[in-house]
Amino acid sequence: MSSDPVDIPDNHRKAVENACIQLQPDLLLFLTGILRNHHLADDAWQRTVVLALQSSHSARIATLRGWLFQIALNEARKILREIRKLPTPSDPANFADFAPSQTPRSLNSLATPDSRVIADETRKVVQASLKTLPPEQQEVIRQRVYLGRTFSEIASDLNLPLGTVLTWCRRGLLRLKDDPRMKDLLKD
Amino acid sequence: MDTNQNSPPPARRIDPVRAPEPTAWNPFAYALGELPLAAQVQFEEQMAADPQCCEDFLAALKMLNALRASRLTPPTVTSLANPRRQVRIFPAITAVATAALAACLIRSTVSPSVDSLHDAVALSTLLQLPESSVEDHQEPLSLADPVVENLETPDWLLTAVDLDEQSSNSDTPSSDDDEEAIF
Repeated sequence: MSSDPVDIPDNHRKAVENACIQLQPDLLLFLTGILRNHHLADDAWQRTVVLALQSSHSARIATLRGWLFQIALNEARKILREIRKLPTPSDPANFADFAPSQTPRSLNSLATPDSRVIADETRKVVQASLKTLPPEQQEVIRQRVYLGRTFSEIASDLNLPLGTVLTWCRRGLLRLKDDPRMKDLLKD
Repeated sequence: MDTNQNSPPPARRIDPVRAPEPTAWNPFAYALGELPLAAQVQFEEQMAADPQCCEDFLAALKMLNALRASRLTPPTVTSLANPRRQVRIFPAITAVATAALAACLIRSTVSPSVDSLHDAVALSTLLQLPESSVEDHQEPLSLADPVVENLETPDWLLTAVDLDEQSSNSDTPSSDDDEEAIF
């Protein structure tokens, strides 16, 4: 009975290395989304790679992607726990874009042009998909996602109940998520 | 009488339990920083237990990034805003206007009236390129460039101005002579 070559431990390390390279953009985005800080995300990414290589012998090739995401999540949560224990940050600058509940605008930093260069065709797809939404949903998404305004600010400006604004945003984003064009775009 | 009419809406965070589509919405709410701390921790535990939840969160992040990036529309370039293009258009305008000017001058030699000379001068003024369209042009122009050659040949304009001055000095007699010649 011959064993599967990909299950040989020596091959595991190579497969993990390759997976780390291939999945780096997704994993970094994932970590930045959780930690809301590029420096912390880089730190967590570094830890993730080291841990993944150290424990590559226990990796299952078939579920390598999920396995790496779990390691990354664990590392991110360790960092979150450390930070959440702190009553006040020793250096506020280090945590300027942390604490999502306090700084909901911080995620906008993820959209730096250098990190997420988007092709014209992609932009057209997103804009076309966005235009299929009712105007009020477009407006709330524009203000919340593009301008980084809080829902309270948007509700106040539009003189609407906060719940209405939240509902419009939620429905709009979920409709976009189900839009076949967006699905194709994000699949790539 | 409603005393709360002008009061701002109360600060509120999304309650994932009460939301109509909590499972689908939670990744977005987490990514947007709209979940309270307890719900954040709960969502992180959910991701730890369910790899699909991680994928949903990643998809939400990608979609939000795509939305943000789609905002970065490239600046629209109008043809007239480009000084280089203005300079390139100039030879064509010059050729057309010169032809019209020549036609006017030929007609004025056959029947030199004041009106036709004024037409010629008016046409010549059309050929004057706005200074800004050339000065704003930053690229070095070589002497071999046909654009430069065209810009450095304003003889037709001097001729037109001379003809205008001559016609204003010797005004009507010439037209009278021509009328005599015709009749």
